[in-house]
Amino acid sequence: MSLCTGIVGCILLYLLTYPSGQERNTSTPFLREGHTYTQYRTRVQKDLWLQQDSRLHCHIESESSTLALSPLQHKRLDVSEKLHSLQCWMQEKLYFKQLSPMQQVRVFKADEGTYQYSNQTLKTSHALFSLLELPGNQLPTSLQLPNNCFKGSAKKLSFSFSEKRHQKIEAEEFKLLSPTQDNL
Amino acid sequence: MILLGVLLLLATLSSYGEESLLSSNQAAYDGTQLTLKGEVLLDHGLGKIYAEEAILKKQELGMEFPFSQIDLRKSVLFQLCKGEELSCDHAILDFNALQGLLTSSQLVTYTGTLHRGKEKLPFKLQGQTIELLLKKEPSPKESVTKPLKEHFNIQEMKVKEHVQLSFGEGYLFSSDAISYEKYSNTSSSLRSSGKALTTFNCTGDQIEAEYFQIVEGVVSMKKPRGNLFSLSREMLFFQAEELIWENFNELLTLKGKIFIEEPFLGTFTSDNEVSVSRKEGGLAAFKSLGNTTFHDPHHRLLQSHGTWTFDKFLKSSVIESPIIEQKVPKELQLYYEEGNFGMYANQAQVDYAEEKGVLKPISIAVKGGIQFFSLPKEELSRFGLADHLRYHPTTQTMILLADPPNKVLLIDQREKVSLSAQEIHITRDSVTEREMIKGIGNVRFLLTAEEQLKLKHYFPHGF
Repeated sequence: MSLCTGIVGCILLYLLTYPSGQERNTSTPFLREGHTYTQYRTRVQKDLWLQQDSRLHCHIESESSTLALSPLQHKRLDVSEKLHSLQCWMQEKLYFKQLSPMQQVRVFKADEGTYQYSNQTLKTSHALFSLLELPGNQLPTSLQLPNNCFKGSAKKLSFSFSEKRHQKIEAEEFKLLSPTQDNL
Repeated sequence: MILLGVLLLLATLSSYGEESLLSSNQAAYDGTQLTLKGEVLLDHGLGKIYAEEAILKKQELGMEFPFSQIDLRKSVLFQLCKGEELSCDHAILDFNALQGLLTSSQLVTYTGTLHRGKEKLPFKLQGQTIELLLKKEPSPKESVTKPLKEHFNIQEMKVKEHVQLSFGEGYLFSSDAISYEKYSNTSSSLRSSGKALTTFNCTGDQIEAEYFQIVEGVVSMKKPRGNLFSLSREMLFFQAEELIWENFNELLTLKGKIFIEEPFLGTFTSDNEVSVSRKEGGLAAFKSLGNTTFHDPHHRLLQSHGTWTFDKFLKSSVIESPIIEQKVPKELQLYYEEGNFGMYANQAQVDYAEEKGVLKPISIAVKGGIQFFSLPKEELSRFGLADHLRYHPTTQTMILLADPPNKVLLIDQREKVSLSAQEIHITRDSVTEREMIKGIGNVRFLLTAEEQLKLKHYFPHGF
């Protein structure tokens, strides 16, 4: 068991240091098609920087996660990570207001979410989110959300960390709540 | 455990409750634009907005509703304050420019209410496009814990192309364009630009006008002309410079160059003002001011320069000439002619009786400066002066009276009779058509020089 975990860990280390997050051909002949190889992690943190008009910081953290490798046909590999009790802070834009640096930030919270490495998309269920304006251009990752920020909920919420898709969010059963409600 | 379950349920309900600013089945957001699809609901400072698709742009944090540009498509419905509603296929709203454009493949529909005091008059305004001008309502100061809450209201609407306005109980106004201005929640106006056509569905009344407006529930039109069925048994044609219709008390006022024609009643013209009140779907009263002429199909003519009133309830009609310096000028006396009889006087009253639903005159009382004469005036054969005249159509009896020391004076050239008396009765036999003239009181058959002079003053051709 520990040997197996060690092997998977080596492969993951190889994959995660690979330059692109797309599905890729692999020359690992010992991963069998139809099997899923998993690694359990605790206190997971991910930090990504996306180049838009400015360099935008995204921070994802979860209490635990399960990384899954599924070999596909033609020596291809599907890599996904299931995050538990996750929170995500994303800078949406950086700007100046009366010469003071400001940032518009999205915050997501969900019990569960799956990060798909192939398309750099995080899908969550029953997510709560907030949209807020904060001073400075450094992304805070711990903050008591003020009452006057926008809050919402969605039955299904997916968002992309791809630079091309411009941090696009897609939601089902979407609700934006009154800023005075304290739901997040 | 149960209590905990209930609390969790309540927490869930509150987060998915009705207070949501916006909701939809599907949403997509790319940092600049929020696209919503399926059962879109926006709880906006303008009201509740429903649509199948919405694109929200120009994000503005710090405001209660975070988008200032809203593009709505498919089955768009605005539920505004005080029960107002707007429905269309496509709406573009810009809350920075405070403007909106609503279009529809069929008709954009606005339903609202006009107020007059406590009275409410619902109306429906439809057209191919509606341009909205919005206004921000006063809002409380921004606080740290609460973002700026903005309320919007419609300030003005311009409805264009195939415009129709339904108002009151069956009134339908059509025009090239109608603008609706809202001064407050209880004060507004509707105005047409371009020609207007009004129809009243219940009765078939139809009026064309160059312009109309409805202010405080009062309809007014410029250069109206049309056919009314609601005021007479037959079609009544009218035209005037101005029309005012007060729906709440069913009062129609026509002003300037008034012409009214009804096949059985005759023609009626006035240069000043005619007001007609309606009750229980029919004519109840009318009042005419200024130079008024009435001509009926039986060649009866009545001219008045003062006030002419008719009250169906009192079954009475009164004509009063204007009084200047405590007397009626000769040129402003009322004039009446029928057959070969003509008369000038200061005042007249006609009393009617209802017979099979039709009012028929039963008594005519005329007073003040009466000059009566035979027609044509060029062949004057009978003429005279009196202070009072009473005529009873049923008995065809005319009673002429004088206020002492005046006398009733009568000259009949054909019969070669001159008469001066306190009272003269003229009766016509309905069978033989012969007239009987009877003097009562101090009767003289020779006129004094003073009496002759008085008659000569009024009838110079009679001597």
